Amino acid sequence: MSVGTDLVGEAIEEDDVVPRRWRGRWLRRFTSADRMAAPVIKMFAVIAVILGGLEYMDRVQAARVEQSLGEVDNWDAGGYRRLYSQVNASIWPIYSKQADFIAALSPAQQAIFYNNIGEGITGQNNEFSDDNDLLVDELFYFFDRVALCADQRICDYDVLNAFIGSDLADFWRYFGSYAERRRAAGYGQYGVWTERFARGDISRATWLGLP
Amino acid sequence: MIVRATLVLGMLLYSGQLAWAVCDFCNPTIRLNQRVAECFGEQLPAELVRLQTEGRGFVLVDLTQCVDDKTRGLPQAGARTASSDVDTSFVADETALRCIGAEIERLSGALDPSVELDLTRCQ
Repeated sequence: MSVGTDLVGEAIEEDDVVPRRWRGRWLRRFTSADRMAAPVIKMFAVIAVILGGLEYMDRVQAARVEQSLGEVDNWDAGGYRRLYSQVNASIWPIYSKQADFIAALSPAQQAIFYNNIGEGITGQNNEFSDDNDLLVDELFYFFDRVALCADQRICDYDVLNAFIGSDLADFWRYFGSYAERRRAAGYGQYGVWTERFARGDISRATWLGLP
Repeated sequence: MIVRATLVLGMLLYSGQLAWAVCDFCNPTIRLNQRVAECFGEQLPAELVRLQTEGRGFVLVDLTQCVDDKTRGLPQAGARTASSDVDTSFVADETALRCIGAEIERLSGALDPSVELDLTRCQ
């Protein structure tokens, strides 16, 4: 019991080494400095969090761009552009016969011609096994995948649109009716994503991924 | 003699090919209802004349004036109307025009709500 009391006494004596008035002054100075520094520290903390967020967003966006460029590379080197050229080679001789006439029509009337040309070069049956049917099918697969990639924000819509947007839109112009015919024949959502991309109906990547 | 026969045969084959050629720009199918079909029937003679006059081998038939979608309220605000499923503009050649005319006569009174005509079967 007496030992415990002595220890407490010693502790009090050690504390008393620093005079009470000094202790109070340092404490006041520290408190004052702390009060002045607190808003600055908080501000820096907020800035750090914002910078961290921006850095994160930047990396996510860079990954999207990289993924998109991968798809563009696949379009060029994966053989899809070649397939597109093959389809175009079937369309062009027909279109060029009435190019001036079609160009003078309203967009709605032009759409009828484009769709009919697209229907004309495919098999026009529900077997979808003709050579051009297979080419068109391959291209729909690619365009659907790209559009879905953009909509799910795995890819960047703007990058894809810049590189293959016009090709995709032209393709849809000619083969929209074809896709509808395949849907009617039981191919569920055939070409839906291509259609959405062509119409610009794709969920764009937004800040912090908010919709 | 052989040359002449070959030429005649070639010409016959060529003309036959033209007669059977499918119009590259024509609609393979169209959908009509009674109202639009009647309108087309009235317009058919004029379309055949236009076909000859324009000389393209096809005409862009416009039946939009046959469909009256004017209703109270905002345009296109409602659900799909029956006329929205009908082709009011389509491309057809002479064979298809006559075929549509014949089909309309055959199906007269049974075209509502709408009927799809397969024009690839027209000969």
